Amino acid sequence: MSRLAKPIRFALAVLLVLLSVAACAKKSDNEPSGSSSQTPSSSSSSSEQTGGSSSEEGPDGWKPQSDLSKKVKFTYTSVQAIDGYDYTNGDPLAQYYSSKFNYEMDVAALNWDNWNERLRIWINSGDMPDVAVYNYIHADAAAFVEQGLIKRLPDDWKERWPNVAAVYERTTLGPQMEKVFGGTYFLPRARFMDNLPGDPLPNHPSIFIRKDWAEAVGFPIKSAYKTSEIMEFARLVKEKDPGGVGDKLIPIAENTNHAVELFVARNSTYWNTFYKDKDGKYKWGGASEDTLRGLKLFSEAYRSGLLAPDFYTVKNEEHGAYFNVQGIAGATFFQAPTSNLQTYYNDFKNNLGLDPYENIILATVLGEDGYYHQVDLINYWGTIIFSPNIKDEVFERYMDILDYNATREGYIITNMGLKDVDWTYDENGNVVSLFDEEKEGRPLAGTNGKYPSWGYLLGSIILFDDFAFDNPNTDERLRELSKKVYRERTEIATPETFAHIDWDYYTYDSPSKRRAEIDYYTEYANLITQPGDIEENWRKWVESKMPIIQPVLDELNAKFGN
Amino acid sequence: MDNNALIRRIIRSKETYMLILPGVIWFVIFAYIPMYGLTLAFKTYKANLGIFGSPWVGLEKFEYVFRDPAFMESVWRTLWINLGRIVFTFPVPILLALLLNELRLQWYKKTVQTIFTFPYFLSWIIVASVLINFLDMQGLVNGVIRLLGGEPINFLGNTTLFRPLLYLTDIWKNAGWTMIIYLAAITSIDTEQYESAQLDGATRLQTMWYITLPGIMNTVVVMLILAAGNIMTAGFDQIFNISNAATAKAGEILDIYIYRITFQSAADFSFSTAVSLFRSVINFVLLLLADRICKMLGSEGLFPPIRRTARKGRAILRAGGA
Amino acid sequence: MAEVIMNPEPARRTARRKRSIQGRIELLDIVLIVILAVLALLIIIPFLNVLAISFVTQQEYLKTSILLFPKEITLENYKAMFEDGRIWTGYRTTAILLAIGVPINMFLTTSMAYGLSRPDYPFKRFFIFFVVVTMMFNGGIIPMYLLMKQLHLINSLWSVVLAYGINAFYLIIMMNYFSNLPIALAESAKLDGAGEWTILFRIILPLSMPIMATMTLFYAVDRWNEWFNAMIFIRKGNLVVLQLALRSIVIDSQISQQLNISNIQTDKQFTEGMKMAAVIVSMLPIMCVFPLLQRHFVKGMLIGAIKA
Repeated sequence: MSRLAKPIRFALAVLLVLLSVAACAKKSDNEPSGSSSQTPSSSSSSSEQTGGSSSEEGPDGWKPQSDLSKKVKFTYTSVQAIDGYDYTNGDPLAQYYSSKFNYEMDVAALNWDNWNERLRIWINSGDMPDVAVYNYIHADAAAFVEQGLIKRLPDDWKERWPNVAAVYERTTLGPQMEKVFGGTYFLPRARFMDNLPGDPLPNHPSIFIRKDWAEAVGFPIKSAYKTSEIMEFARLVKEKDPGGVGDKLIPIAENTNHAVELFVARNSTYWNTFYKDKDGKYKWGGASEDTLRGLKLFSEAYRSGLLAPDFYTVKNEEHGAYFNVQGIAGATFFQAPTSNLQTYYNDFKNNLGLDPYENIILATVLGEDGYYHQVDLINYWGTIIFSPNIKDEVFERYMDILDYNATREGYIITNMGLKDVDWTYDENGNVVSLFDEEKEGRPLAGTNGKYPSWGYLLGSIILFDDFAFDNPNTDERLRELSKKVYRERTEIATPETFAHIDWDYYTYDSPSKRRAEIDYYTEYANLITQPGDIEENWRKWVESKMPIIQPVLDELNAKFGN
Repeated sequence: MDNNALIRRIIRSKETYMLILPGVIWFVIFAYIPMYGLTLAFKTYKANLGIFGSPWVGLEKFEYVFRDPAFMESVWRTLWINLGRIVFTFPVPILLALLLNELRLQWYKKTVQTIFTFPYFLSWIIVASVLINFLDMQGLVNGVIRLLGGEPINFLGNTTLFRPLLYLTDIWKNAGWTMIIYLAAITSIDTEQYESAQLDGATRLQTMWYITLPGIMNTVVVMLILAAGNIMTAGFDQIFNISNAATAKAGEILDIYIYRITFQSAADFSFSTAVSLFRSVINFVLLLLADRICKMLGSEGLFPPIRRTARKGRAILRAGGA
Repeated sequence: MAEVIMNPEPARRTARRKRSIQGRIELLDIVLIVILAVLALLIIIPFLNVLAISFVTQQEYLKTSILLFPKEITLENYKAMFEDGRIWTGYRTTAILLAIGVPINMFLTTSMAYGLSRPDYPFKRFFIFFVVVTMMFNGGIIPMYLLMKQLHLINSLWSVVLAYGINAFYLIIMMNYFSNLPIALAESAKLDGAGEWTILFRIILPLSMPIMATMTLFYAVDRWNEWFNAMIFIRKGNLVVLQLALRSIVIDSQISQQLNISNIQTDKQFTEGMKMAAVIVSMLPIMCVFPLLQRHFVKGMLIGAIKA
């Protein structure tokens, strides 16, 4: 044996023994912990009485459908959740709900970049959590229903949980799918309930423009611009650099998705879908002249440096921060839900030291024809689904939570926090905020907020935008601005450019249609970044897609065409 | 008679079987049992019926596969990209090993070797973040270019630069590790050769060319065959993390295509299984081919030696860790 | 016999001899030193850049275009990351995975590799083929998930541990290594009545430390970088593996992707800095352990090459 080998051999032998011992030890101490998690019944019995009769009946005369004195435990999953956070007892808001409804909730957090995939694998393996928030994709959904992979709600659910039922009616998707499937399987979460801002319903992304820069370069201030006008502004900014940014200046800051929306979607109503044309025949939006027009503008903006030369490398939505945090962008087409605006404006103020109300133009983007283009936004985001194996008591309890949150009081709590802590009623019965972000030193929500468990997870069937119009925590000016923007979009449009949903098409499912699902964002961005004539490239692209597009067109025309 | 002999041999080898038993059990449970999922390629998956119960549809899925022009394109693209890899990245570690071998400062050699090898142990997610940060428009390289008065170069979004980018990042991450394999091979060259070369007055470059390089040729051939065997699969992690919308088309190799149709469209597990199966078959054929070539070249092939005295067996696959 | 295998003497001898014959520094040496230094810098500088970004404020990041040595160091990015606790969960889970997983990997791989390397027994070729097939074909994620469900391993770290038990590639490398060991040793021990397990542990393993170290490192690094199985099989927030924790920290610090979504934005931070801090944090342990182990696996390779 060489001198060298001995110590190594010894060390390795010791290590091996240690590791194997560690492995055994781990094995044995893992077992009890595993089994302890499976015996909630014993622990739950002790705390059974906590739910208490005090909250049996709300002030509005709201009554639960399940026996709240009996503790339930359930699993739940949603994107937007925080990994490892204790949603049962983590903060006072979580405690309020879990004691009021006497439950223990085990949350599996999904991430934005993989939530569809994970949930789909779980559902397809017949192993979904009791309750899940699911991004509705009709083809998948139809398969889930057909194969009994998700629960069919009892036929009398609308009578038992009337508040949920009222929201359900407003979502359009819910009742439509009920017709298709012959029963209720999905509870869409409404974006708007009391304050539907337009019909057809516009989407929120808007163009944010630096007003101070616009004034400096002599660009007109309006509430709606054509795409080419925004490009004109960008050209001026690029030329004059009114902010003195230098090398890092980005005239229009976008990521792939928002860039495609700004240029293509705002010019072409059916940029990512099939549609029934005036002649009664189905056509493919990818091949429409409107789409080509959008692509040409997109290509021009990219080639003349109005977009960042590598805008497609922007991950997630950092481009929004180029505008309001870093201050290096002249404009950005970005999310503008009312619930989000306050934070966005605050960040602008805190990071750039400028008054956002004086220095931002928030406007609508129109197509080159001067009209607003979009397909009616279905009034929901994410649907609540239940496992077919969910226990009745759990299902009923969860529906109770949903129903409570759809009452006036629950609705305010899910949006503003605890009563008499974060908000209260004044003598006229109006909601007054008691929460002061500056004094508190942190926002209400978010990982570092007062209530990390806030909102989305506790079973809200009405999302935030609706309430945001009335939320006293949001600046009055912003609320007015947001309402105006929504309203105008519906007004500056024709029924052709701002079209209603074609439910025939929406609910049609076939293998060909599934395979014709295209990631339009990537495809369009790819098209305009290639060298050569954009029109030529687009023609070639359309041709290359035809083998998967044509079968769908044939099917649609045979079925619904006239 | 023959049977009896076999049984006797089996009994005699029972301890050997005991050795491989734990591993075999693992393979059966976690590799072979799930393989029944491959039948999905010929079925339509119905979750409620399970994989067994799902109805057979024959070759329907394959028909769809071949109808999508993107599929065959991705197959060819995979071949081209990975052939390029062999041409451009393959020689680099050999060169590095030759250079490093000539280095006579031992501490310097060790340090350089450590630095070169390190990136190999990082995942592509990390390597990609590091390199994207380094190369993007606001990155350090373009900072330097601007400082020198040049036009910044869009390294990450240019289709023509995409393949060079792939090869360079591949070298950046992996060349150091492969170099170690060659370095190891170099040390096994008979020292007498060097001594006689020196007596003949050969320069170091001559020695490198006429003795060192031929000395590791065997290893080079083996590595080459391995790379050829990987031609359909190499690069998923790398491309997945480095490409973006602008280079999406240029980088759509077969594995990326499979990923795209599996996860980005509505779920059709049968469809993606069909494509995966197709790829596996191509791979299998390529591996057998590589094995044949190996044997024709006088090596022992990728399937390891069976002979009674295995000691002479070349460590063909040992190198494969790279 | 063992001497020959264990001792990388020829390598040293070569080096020594060379040095003694031509001790002076030639032009070639200088050229070499410079070339290799440049290449090494090409590897170091991107890391240095990442390190620098992780320690600066947004203001400095925006102002400086070539950032290698920050003027002012801030720990904010790291603080923000460590504060929310997920990173600790990630470290803990991954540490457990390593502690349980790697020994299992090594046990399964070593015993099977040694068994397969034994010279002559019935069906040897079959078993090797049996392994090679798994390198080519796998059933996909759904059957794997169903299997884990059957075994009641969903939501348990055992699913992640067991799903990656043997890497067929490593197994074959190791098997080849064992086949190259002198057979006489094992044979004589056998004549003395030792069983195969005894031979493996008492004779073979001591001769195989370099390859064992190399394989341990391989498995450890794989485990360290593992995330896919964990993502699918584990839903419990307190069992999130490191790589996923890092992902979710970096991604959650921003708002959603392009979805028609109404949500509340979490507070804005210097995402570039956070991201780079995350890269550093996940690299750090490999950086620390790597130089220690490197010696061993280089040796493993050297010895293998001598035998070849």
